[in-house]
Amino acid sequence: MRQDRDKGFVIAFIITVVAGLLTAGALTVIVDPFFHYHAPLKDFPYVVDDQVDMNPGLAAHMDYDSVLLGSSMTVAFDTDRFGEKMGLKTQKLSYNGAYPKDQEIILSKIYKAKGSSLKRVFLGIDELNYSCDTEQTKFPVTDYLYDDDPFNDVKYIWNKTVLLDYVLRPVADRSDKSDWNMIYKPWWQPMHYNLANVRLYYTPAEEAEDETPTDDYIAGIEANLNVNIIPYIEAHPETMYTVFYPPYSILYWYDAKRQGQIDKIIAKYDYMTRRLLEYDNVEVYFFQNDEDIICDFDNYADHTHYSPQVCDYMVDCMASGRRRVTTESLDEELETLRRLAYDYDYDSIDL
Amino acid sequence: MLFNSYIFIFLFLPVALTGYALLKRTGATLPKVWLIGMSLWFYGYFNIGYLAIMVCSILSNYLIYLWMRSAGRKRPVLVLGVTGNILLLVYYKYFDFLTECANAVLKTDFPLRNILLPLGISFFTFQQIGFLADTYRGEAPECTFVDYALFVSFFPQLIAGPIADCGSMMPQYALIGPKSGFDREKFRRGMVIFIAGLASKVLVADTFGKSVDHAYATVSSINSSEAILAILFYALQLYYDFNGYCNMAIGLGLMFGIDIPVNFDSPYKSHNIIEFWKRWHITLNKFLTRNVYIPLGGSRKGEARTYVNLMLVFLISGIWHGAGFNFIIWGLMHGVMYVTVRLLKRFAHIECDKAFSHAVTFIFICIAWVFFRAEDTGEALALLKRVIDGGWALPGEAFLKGFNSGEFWYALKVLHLTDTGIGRYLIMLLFTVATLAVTFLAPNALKVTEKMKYRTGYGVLLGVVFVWCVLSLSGVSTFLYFNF
Repeated sequence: MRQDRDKGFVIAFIITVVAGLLTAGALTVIVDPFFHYHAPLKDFPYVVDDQVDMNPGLAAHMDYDSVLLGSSMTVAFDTDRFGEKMGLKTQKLSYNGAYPKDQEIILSKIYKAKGSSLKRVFLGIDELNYSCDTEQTKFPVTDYLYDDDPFNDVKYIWNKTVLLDYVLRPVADRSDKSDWNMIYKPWWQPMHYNLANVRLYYTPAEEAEDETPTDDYIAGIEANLNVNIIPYIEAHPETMYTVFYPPYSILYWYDAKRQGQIDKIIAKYDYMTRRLLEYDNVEVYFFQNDEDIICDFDNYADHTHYSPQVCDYMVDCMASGRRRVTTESLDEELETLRRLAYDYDYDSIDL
Repeated sequence: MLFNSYIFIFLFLPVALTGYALLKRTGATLPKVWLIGMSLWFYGYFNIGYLAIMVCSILSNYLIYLWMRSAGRKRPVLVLGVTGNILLLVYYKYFDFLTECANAVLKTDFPLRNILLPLGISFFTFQQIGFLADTYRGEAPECTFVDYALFVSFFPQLIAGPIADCGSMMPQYALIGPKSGFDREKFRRGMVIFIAGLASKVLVADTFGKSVDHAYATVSSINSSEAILAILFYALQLYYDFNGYCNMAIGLGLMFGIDIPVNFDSPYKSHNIIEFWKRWHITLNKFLTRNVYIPLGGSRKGEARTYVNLMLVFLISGIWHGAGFNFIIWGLMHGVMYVTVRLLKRFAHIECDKAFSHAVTFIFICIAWVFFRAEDTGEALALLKRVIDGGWALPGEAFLKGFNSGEFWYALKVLHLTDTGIGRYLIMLLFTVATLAVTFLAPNALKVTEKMKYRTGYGVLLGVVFVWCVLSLSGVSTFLYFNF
């Protein structure tokens, strides 16, 4: 009798474990919320909010002919507008705080999936992040979603967070469902784009003199361009690289002024732009000195992040060629920026 | 390799058990060699470089053992062996700390080496010192190299204890062989205890750990309520972390038919600090009593000397746990409390209300853990200061992150509280109260399984808990005691 009961215990345990793990694994593989195995299911209410974990799957399995890369400065873009203005099917693959190595990693995934069919790369460059170590990523990459080892996929298939938060929860609560054209969108609503909101997050930088020689910054940028960006530009002349410098608000330049960095930052833009424009398949758009954008705090939710309307304007420019900079016009653009950054009446801002 | 990892549960453990069961039929040596080989794989998986250190340590200690036996248990040989082990530990664990101290005192600028601490070095070094001391005292049974290597390297107890004594392990190793058979009862109990340990670690300790990590990463900006909760949560995190590891070690040992010494016996049920140290890290306490306290004279050399000896034991315990003044302070705090309680019992004959003494003991332990968890003394003091001057406000969203995702969201959904602000506070409160109730009132896994009836329903329940744990493994975290 005792023996039978013991046997029942063991059998019940084994059946429960096998059934539980098979069910959990099957649900994750079928829905595949990080798109590791296949493109999204047609009607499933996916929540697309995890850039590090989802970008490789999106790069591998989505249908697109162009990509939008960059930091959080690119998350407010509506990718449908690229289609409306340029006839492109653009996939957003942003990484918050992206370093050049992040771009290199995702570019390798993109070309692995699309090869020479990739028409255009829209690349937002934050000069601040381009002087870092060439192997540094902003966040650790998730090994089982980035490598080709099938065995460590067990961490994805039997993953409570994936199952509960990304497979079952969207079914239980569809309110978080992502719009595919606005994935990774910031949580700010239209009412948050004003000076009052900017003021909430902003504290002026301490007054100090930046002791780092400009050449050190330039050396870092040169290394990052050489290692992480230019190899792809050179290897894929069929792809047009549309580089743009995100327009931070005038407060960014206030901080730069207080820390003696204006000339250094401008020198960085100068180097980067000239280096990139050596290639026929690169065009550069310069928005940094656009007073209509950067001096109007109704465009900003904090001192750097601009509104979807600014994003729309930038897409329109990239479609029409407006604000495109060339080696000939660069000096003038940079001089305008220098004058604006030094001479702006910062006291007029009600901080 | 972590016990709470896919590779351990789905590959390493089944291979180790199957190989052991098959080889046991062939004789006594091969199954032991198999276990040693598996243990080396287990250890080398963390860092292959560590393996050489452990192997050299095992070989040199066994040579000292042979020398001691052939030389007639001479004291200088023991001193040589113990000194060698301590020097190894000092080099790998304390070199940088001592260098920093020297630089601070002598105003020198000796470079730090940033030596990577080999995992479990404190445990296998102390276990071997204990073995040499037992051999010197004539209390260690004769053993072959294979038995000795298995005694030190047996993977369930290799990384975070217990610090097993040869008297309890060697006789069991001597029984390994064709005649020992498969103990179905032990295996099943081991499985239950292992899963209970796994649940303790991944479902309880790691949940509290998220809030604790946040609080310690942002000490300067947390408010008073967050600071107080961080102190309580770390006490619970460490408890369920170490409890989880100890249970998993015992469970694994039982699956192989080996009884591993109990190291953790519901320590927060203690009514005073003396009782606490009979329940927390029991084998370390025994080691220090046998090999430090008693050789120093124990309580045989008068009252004053007894208390000095006790303080020395706690000082060593603090240093053993980590290279930093915060660990020394933690050890001395316990020492002072231990001596105080002993003095009160000895001279004042005070009998406190049990609930009062229980509460005082628990609060003291929680506060002392702040020094144990902090990176340094400054951070510990900063956190304690935040209790007083952090300002009163409800814990922030980031602090409660661990209580606001996964299965907790479904609980809120059922209660229609997903869109309200109080939901996550309610979850935190319920989870904490339930954990405290289990901690203070419920019998531990070892006691539960002593009389457990293996009904079919329990099989389903255990299966559900196991699946839940497996699904939680992807956010693996190491055991807190690994670095000691």
